[in-house]
Amino acid sequence: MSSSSTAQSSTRSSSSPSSSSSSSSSSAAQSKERPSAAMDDRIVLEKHIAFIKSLDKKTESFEHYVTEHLRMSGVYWGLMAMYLIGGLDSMPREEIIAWVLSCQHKNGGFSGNNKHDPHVLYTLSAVQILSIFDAVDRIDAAKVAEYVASLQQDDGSFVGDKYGEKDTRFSYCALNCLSLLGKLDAIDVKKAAAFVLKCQNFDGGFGVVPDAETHSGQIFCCVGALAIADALDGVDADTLGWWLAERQLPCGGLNGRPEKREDTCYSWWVLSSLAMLKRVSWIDRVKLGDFIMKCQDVDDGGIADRPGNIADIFHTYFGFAGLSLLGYKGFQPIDPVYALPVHVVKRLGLSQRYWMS
Amino acid sequence: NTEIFSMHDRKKLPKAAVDAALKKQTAEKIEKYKALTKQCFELRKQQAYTADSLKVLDKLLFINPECYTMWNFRREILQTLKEGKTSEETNKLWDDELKYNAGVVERRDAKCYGVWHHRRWVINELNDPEVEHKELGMCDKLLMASDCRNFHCWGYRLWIVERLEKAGKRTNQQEKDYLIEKVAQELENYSAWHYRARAIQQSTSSEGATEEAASEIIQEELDTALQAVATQITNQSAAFYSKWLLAKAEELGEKEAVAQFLDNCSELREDADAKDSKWLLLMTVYSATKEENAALRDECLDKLCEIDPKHVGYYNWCKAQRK
Repeated sequence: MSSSSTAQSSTRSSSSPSSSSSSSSSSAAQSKERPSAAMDDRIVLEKHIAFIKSLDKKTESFEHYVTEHLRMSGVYWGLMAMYLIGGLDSMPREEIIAWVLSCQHKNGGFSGNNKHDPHVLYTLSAVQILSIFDAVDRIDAAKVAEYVASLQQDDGSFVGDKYGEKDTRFSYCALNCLSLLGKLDAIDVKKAAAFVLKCQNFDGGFGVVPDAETHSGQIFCCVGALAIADALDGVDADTLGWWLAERQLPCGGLNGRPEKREDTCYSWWVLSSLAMLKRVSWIDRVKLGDFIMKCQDVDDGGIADRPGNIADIFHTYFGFAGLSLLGYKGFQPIDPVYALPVHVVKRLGLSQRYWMS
Repeated sequence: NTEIFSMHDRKKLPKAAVDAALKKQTAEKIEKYKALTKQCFELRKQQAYTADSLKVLDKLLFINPECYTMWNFRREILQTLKEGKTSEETNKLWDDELKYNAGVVERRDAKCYGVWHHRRWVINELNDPEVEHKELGMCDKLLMASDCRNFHCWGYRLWIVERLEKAGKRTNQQEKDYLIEKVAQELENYSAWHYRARAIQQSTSSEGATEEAASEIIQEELDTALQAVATQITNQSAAFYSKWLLAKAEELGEKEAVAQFLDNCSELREDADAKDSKWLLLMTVYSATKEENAALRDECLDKLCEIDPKHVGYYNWCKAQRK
């Protein structure tokens, strides 16, 4: 299969800023995104497009209501999913920007939706959305930076909001958000990195706080945070790389921890971590690609956590992101640190030192 | 309970199964939830920080504990309710709150960040080591009854243990004892091995820990790892744990311990059923550090390439390493 040999040989090139997963998409990424005709024919592209576009109309689903509080992240996932399959231009840019701005609070933070409280998770998602649309000038970056900086603790860690939940996910949110705004100097970056490194475990991985169990999601956040803080040399990449590689199961899919089941979303958390550590070759990329393909809902579009399950935008985004990182044709390039389009990261002049050359 | 929603592992039903009755049920569920949400936001807008508001929140948060803003509202109410109360009354307030929270954990969602964060918040307010000791029991019960890998529960347990250790109410030895038993009960429980590593790291690096004592501990742990894989050849936790221990042994200059470990692995591999088992092969590779073991190391890595081809990239990288 042409896409699989492409995946094996071009995984490195899909990670580098100077080329992307296919020659047709590299120029596309710079200007207007167009779906590539060379996409693997197992991808039910039209169904996926329809699935993503139908999301805000799902007023008959219970899921729509119980996820209302995290809509800011949901919109970010939807936008990224569309970007990855070349459909970003068809999204209602002004409408989304207006809604994002309506979720900003006086203290500079953003909430998950209207009427909800500010939180660093949704502040990152908001800034990511605005960065994608090149509309960061619509907000007072200094005010946002002030909010994020107010969440840093004496030990360098970050809490999510004024109620004090401490989690390395929030370290990542803070560093990513401030880096996108060009305001990393609002916080103590060295202390932030030092705290993250304190969360390094016996197996090379990272947990929620120091001494907490290693989890792939936390690894992504910690490695990403350290990449932004330019402190990746503190990571035991050989040990962690092996731990991450061992997430791949006989079915080809990846799990999040030992003895757990495979789940498409780890195609992002694990794969982007491996990309940042320059060790994507330590897993079988073709088998992973095959697994992600099997998780598509070929009737109604979208991707699920496992074959045969119900699709949702979260797993759809991360499935596409995985396929992009693996170098499958027709997927736009994604930056593994910022989880944003490569051209956005480049436009902002952000470092891609961690890329394998 | 059809009210409960989870993002994970939802089987897609054939369209015929999604019939009119289910649609009606879903519509009713939605109306009920929308009404509750509307009511709660309205109460918050009115700043109704009352016990009655708590009752409404009880329902909403049981249906959707992920709704973080509503936990915030809950905390605002509790902070108001505790004002001007006697210590007996506030103890009851927090006790009731812990009970409600436990109900959400046990019957609704034991894997929601917001629920455990709220529990920590209450425990902080209470600040009572007696209560904290009981929390350890609650965690252990949940880990045994429900999911021994629940990292939220383990993380909360860690938080409690740290508070007790800091207050001088719990020793490193007590923690080691608990985890030794946990690992013995469930060899596959990677979470237990992780926390065991924490306890071992503490005891080998604490003030007054001699190198001799550390070496002895490392030796015991290496034996435990071997025992685990000898008992259960498919045990992967022991392999990750061994890799770490072997690196520690090297740091301490304990070449004899590493050599002994290698011999033990080779002995286990004399059993035809164990000879080509992945984890045992890896443990052999990680302990075959001397130049004289190079051939054995390569032989094992070649075998690993054969039985576990998806990780060929890693095994070839290992072969290229020369310590």
